[in-house]
Amino acid sequence: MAHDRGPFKLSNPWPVIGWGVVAGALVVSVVLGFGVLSRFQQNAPTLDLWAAICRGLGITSDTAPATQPQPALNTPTRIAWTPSTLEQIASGDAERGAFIAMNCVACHGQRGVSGSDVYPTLAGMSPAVIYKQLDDFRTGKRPWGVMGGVAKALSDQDSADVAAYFASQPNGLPPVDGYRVPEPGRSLRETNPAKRLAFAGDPARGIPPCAACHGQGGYKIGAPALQQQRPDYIEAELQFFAQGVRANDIFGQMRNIAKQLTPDEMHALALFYSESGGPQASIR
Amino acid sequence: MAETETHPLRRRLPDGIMPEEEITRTENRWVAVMLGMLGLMMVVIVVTGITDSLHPPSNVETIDPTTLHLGGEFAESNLGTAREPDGSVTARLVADQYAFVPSCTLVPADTPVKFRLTSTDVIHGFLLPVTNVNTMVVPGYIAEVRTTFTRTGVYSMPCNEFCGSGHHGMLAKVEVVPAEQFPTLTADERTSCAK
Ligand code: HEC
Ligand code: HEC
Ligand SMILES: [Cu+2]
Repeated sequence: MAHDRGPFKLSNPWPVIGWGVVAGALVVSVVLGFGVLSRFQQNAPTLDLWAAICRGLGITSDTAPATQPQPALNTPTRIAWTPSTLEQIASGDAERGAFIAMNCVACHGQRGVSGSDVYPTLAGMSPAVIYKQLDDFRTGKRPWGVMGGVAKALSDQDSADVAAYFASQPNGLPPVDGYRVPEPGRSLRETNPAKRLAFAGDPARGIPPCAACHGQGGYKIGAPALQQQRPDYIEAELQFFAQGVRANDIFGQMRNIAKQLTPDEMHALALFYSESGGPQASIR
Repeated sequence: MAETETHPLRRRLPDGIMPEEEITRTENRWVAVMLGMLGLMMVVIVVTGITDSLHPPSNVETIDPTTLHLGGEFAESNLGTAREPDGSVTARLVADQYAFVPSCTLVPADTPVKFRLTSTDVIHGFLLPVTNVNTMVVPGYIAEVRTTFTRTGVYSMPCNEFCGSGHHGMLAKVEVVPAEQFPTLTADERTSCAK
């Protein structure tokens, strides 16, 4: 029976019916998917049928910006992590940077290891962070009198060089990496509030764990290492972010978090991170 | 004895081949089941699609994710809710590891709202429960969803797409206020939820 029933033989009605059903299903699906579903969505009253079909297909002319008077453009920084910026930072020459660093060690300490609570330790800091902060000081995006003056004297290449130098200095901040060590007490059940915030955050307030960006266990480009940083400096920066005095963080990454922290939490976090026996000790 | 002779499955198979009528009958049953399932799924998709206005992810606009903050539509000062001349509003948000910016967006009730979102780094998910707002936020693309809120209150929903070790601390907050209250708010008030 099957031998005279090839799918392309016209004498047999079934192939015609089969192909017809497939073609019909295709037409119905196209009409439903691109016409009906795209058009009759309760909340797109502005779309006519043609626009709806285009939208369903992913072709849209709906790119006009909002027509409301736009607030003055206010950018947090000039730096974006584009390939060219990263190349510029990677091109830093630590030996040349060592000469430039002679202008810095009076405040930031020998080899960038600070001995004062006012000045942050630069040794071991990621070169991307140093480069970005210098640019922000230079353009006034991060307002700070002395550093603004210092940074204005540096070219982009100088910044990259001095960043490479400080990044390579020992005995400062430990390098931030994505290396994660499972350890008890790194959960929301931790009772030490600083440790809980650092490793688990506070989801109810929308605070991600600091470690997700500042390490260890997570890393976000531009986020400085906090372990072994001067405690007073950490606390002061958190206050500056919360008050909006420092607003050079891209899309308010730190401002949004710092606004949620109480002064007590800022103090506890600063102590937690600066302690030499802090999170670092559990890593190496 | 006569039964074993007539029943097709009991019959001795010539050269080990199933009787053709039996194969056809089985195939027809399977085709019927399959068509039934297909039809049912189509009906479910179309009915939910229309009654709940679930959007197919159907917006292809591209944007450079590394330079969003330097200017243009998604510059920090342009985020939040903007009013359009036709009375509708457009809410622009950026999702990054690990926050939605602005951290709270105010929108009016009973007004057509268009959300436009994009990401700076990885894929995030924006979902407001019990509404038709549910979209992936993909770096390099602008996600667009339209809705009209009928209830006032605060929608608070964690990022809906695992995005890294800080994912659980990433909250999307949208506060719906009465339509008549909305125009009285300043741009600043439109990006902060009432405490
Ligand atoms: C007169 C003292 C002084 C000198 C000289 C100085 N700095 Fe600073 N620097 C500061 C202070 C104070 C701060 C902290 C500012 C703040 O609290 O916001 C700072 C902050 C910084 C930061 C930001 C660090 C961070 O964690 O965000 C960098 C980077 C930096 N300095 C680099 C340099 C470099 C490079 C030089 C030399 C070319 C230099 N500084 C010279 C006082 C100085
Ligand atoms: C979403 C990622 C992210 C999270 C989570 C985060 N930070 Fe940050 N933080 C950053 C970035 C990025 C910067 C650098 C901002 C800039 O570009 O100037 C920063 C800067 C800082 C600084 C300034 C350091 C310096 O050397 O200038 C401090 C202090 C700080 N964060 C503390 C914290 C604490 C405490 C927490 C947890 C409660 C935390 N951060 C959570 C991303 C994050
Ligand atoms: Cu996310």
